[in-house]
Amino acid sequence: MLRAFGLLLLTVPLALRAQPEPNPSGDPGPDPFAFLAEDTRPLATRHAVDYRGEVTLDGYYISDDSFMFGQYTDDHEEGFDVDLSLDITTWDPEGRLGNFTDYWRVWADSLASDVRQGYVEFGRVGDYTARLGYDQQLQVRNDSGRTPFIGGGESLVLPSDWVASNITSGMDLLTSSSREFDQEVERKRFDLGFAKQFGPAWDVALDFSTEEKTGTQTLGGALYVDGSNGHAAILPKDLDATTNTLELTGGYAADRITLNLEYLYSDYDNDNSALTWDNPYNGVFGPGIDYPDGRGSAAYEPDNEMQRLRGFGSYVFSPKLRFTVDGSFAKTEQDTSFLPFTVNALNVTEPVPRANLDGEIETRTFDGRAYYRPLPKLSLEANYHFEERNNDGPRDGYLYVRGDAWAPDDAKFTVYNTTHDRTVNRLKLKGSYRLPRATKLGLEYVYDEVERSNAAVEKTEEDRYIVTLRTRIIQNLTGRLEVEYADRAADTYQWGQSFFALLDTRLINEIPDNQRYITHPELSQYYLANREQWQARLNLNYALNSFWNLSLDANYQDADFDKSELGLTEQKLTHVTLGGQWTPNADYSVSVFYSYDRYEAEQGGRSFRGGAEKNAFEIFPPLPQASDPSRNWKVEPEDTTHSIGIDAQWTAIPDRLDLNLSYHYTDSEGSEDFTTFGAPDILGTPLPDMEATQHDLSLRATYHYTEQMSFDAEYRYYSYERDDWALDGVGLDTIDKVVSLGEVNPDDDVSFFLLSVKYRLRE
Amino acid sequence: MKATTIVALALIALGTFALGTIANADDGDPADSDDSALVPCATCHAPSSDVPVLSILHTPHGRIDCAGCHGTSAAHGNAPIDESPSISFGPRKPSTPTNQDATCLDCHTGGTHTLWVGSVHQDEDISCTGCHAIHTRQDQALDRVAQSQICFECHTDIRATVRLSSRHPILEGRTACVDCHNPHGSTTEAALVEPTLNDTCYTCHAEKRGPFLFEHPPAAEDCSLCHRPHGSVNDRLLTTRGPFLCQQCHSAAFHPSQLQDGDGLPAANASPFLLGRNCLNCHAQVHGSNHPSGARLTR
Repeated sequence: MLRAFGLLLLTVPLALRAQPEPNPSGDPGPDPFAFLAEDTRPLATRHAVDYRGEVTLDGYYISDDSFMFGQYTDDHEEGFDVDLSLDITTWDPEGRLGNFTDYWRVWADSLASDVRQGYVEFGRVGDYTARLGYDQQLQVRNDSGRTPFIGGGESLVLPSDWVASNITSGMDLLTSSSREFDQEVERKRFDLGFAKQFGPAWDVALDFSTEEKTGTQTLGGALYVDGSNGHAAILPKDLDATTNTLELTGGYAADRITLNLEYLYSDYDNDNSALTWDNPYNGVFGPGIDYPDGRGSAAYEPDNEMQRLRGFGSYVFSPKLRFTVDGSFAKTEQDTSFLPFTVNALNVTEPVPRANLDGEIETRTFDGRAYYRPLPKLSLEANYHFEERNNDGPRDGYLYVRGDAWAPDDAKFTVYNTTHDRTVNRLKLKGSYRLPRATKLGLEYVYDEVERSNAAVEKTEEDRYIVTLRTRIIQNLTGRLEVEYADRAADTYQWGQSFFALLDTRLINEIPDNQRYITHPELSQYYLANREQWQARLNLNYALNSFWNLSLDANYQDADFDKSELGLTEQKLTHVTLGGQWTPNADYSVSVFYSYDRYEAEQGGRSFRGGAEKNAFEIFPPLPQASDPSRNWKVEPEDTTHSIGIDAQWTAIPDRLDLNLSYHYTDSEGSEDFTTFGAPDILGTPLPDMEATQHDLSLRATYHYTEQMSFDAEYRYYSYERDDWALDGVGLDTIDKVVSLGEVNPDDDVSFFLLSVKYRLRE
Repeated sequence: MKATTIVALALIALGTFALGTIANADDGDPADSDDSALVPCATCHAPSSDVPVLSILHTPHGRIDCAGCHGTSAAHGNAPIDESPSISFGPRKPSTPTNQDATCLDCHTGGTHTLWVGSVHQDEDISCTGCHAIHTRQDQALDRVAQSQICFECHTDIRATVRLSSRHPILEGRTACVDCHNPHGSTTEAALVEPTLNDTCYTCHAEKRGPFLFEHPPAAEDCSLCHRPHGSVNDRLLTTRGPFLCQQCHSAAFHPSQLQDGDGLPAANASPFLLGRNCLNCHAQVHGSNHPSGARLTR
């Protein structure tokens, strides 16, 4: 056998060049060496070496509408469709394309759909690259919603025959006059890039992109005098905005030093500034505010402009010692004109104090790192991180016109905007040492200090200790374990800070001392609060033999906000993945995984009233609600997800037929467990569990009809079912004071059939 | 003649033939490519081999001769089976990750690679070829759709998360891992491409950048306080569902402090604070409001 193989190889060149002798009749006859000229390379090799690209034409059928199936792929509607993709790369060392380029690539995907994308790129290796790209994306959300509002852009109106009411169930035409609308957001992005190298050390690059974002989102629009009597409607909110981004980069790289300098300009331009809508309610706020004259208004996200200068680089002091730095300075500004306090005929005489915010945020970051390797087995690292957000916006007093429905008649109701600054200083020291048996031990200490202005806590300090051990436990079994302990200490929690920052001095002085707070004094906002946190990560990898590989990954995090009585007090995250791969040979491979994810939290609250009742410090019975612990409640939200994935590949007929199977299953469950503490009006009636189940099965066959042409056939079954109490049974008029969309939970079964032909282009 | 001798001669003949073909095909600037350097290697690593190493000629690395990455490999040349090339990227007898990476870093020093030394991946002894395939036309690590599968081999928690109902289009490749993370090293906590977490989010969500007249401080500080970027069971990538998410920080008098339980379901009282968009039925401007009467983030 070996001899025959050797002979075959030896004669290939001869056979390719052989000129057969003609027979006496002059007919050359069949070439006796023709079989030797056959290409014996695997098809994959030939495809990799002999072809410069491919064109793919798809035809497919989707059996049912499903926004979840086509969430990002434009495959959310039933029906037939076709698509076209191509990918062609040409290396042109001979300069056929001209002396200015030695390669070009044209790549395009999903050309016939609303998620088309592609680019043209060409250049010379080591010299320059130029690229022109287009990227169109689509996100489809729950498309079962309806709305009575018509119009678009900045103004929504109700039908002329609208029947208003003080509650939604009294709006007789709400259901019949409502229309379906799509919650879709489309992005269209053009980008242009050019990079040029100047010798071995210098390079510059320019990237420009412009992205248009259009579509329809939703917005909760509220009209209210106070929180107990809020009237709202979920509105379709048109989106029409453009973001332009320009990035200039220059780099220098030599033996010891590397430097990069970047300038970034980003401009966000929102074509809409205000959304106004007809008030669908009457009999609530009075003439001029009720239907038909009253309207609500909300601001769109303002235009903004950001510029940033960033520099980073490294310096190799010696083979054992290296320094890196990364620093940036950014300025974000916005001066979008303010809207009026109200669009309704309220008695507002006070002008808006400024024409616009003239807002400005400066952000500075700096990172410095020293990396020292005194011994081949020992590495040490010191890292310092600085980050500062400085909001230089002005602080003014603004009339608080509540929900376009009530204008205060006294300046004491003025509220003040607050700017928030933040400074982070972080020091990290890290060392690792290599031991025998492929073992590496790492120790790390992190000191993290965060200072905030106009926050309930001025400073938090955290110490983190991390131990990492990576080792070969036994032959073919490697493991990695990381354990982290973190302890965060917060300055005294100033629970009245947001109260004093927001309100006017006159109003503050009228409120008793013991009621000067907004958020209950026993609640420390968790991201500002003391925290003790344990975290562990375990990874095991076992190569059973050359065919089998098994792995286990597990993460666990437990954060305890032990100084807070209310709000979030504990949070746990658990993740486990078991995985396996079986690859007996190049023709078969199977990989499977199972993942378990769990989020658990504990949080508390105290149900209390305001006004004279709002005294959280009263200790003698009868207690006001704010200081009555029997009015406490606790909720333990929990989300659990089980995921299973199987991917299998089988070359059924070598170089002719490939089969693929892919199946992914996700089952999620969300629950809230309540605990109450005695108050008779706080029941803790259970909520049903949220459940979501997803199956995604794909069977695919690829038939290589010729070396150049392949056919694909795919059947995909997708199923998604969600049972969520937030939408379950909530029609347009279910909530008395919210005109809802009446969205329903998805329960989709989709079959997807694909036939595809791929044609390869030879070099 | 022994079989092994025949095979050896055959390989030499075939390699010579192949090399001639390659040499004829490439008449480019000799300074750019020295095909004579391929001669000893292509003798064995021929175009006919099952592993198409010579497809490297269709990549930018085709400009570099074999020794440029693999070293002179004299021992390997003398004993091809028993000895590895000077720099071996595997699968047999691979060089240490540090030595492998040094080869790549000879050229890839600047730009996004600047912070490789000391990066998380380097620290874990993941070499460049642990992710990148150099000899193929299409390096999977540079393919926005296929790239995530490489990352998921180690980041298994993310592999399951990106299939949850609320997610970024990572599986579709419309949000690639490298859009947010720099696998070659970064100075941020999660190897992010931008200097801060929020700056990374703002690259696509520029409308959240503000500055707003009335800020929501946690939103301005850290998007991940409320959102899980890779995927969530809850709508809008939220860490937990409303109204409980909001009540983790807010407990003001009246409705913000009340327990929203089963009594708020449609069969009972149909609470506006529980159903639909719960808190966001009214307080929709949770990322900040630029309305002069937007102090409560309703407008």
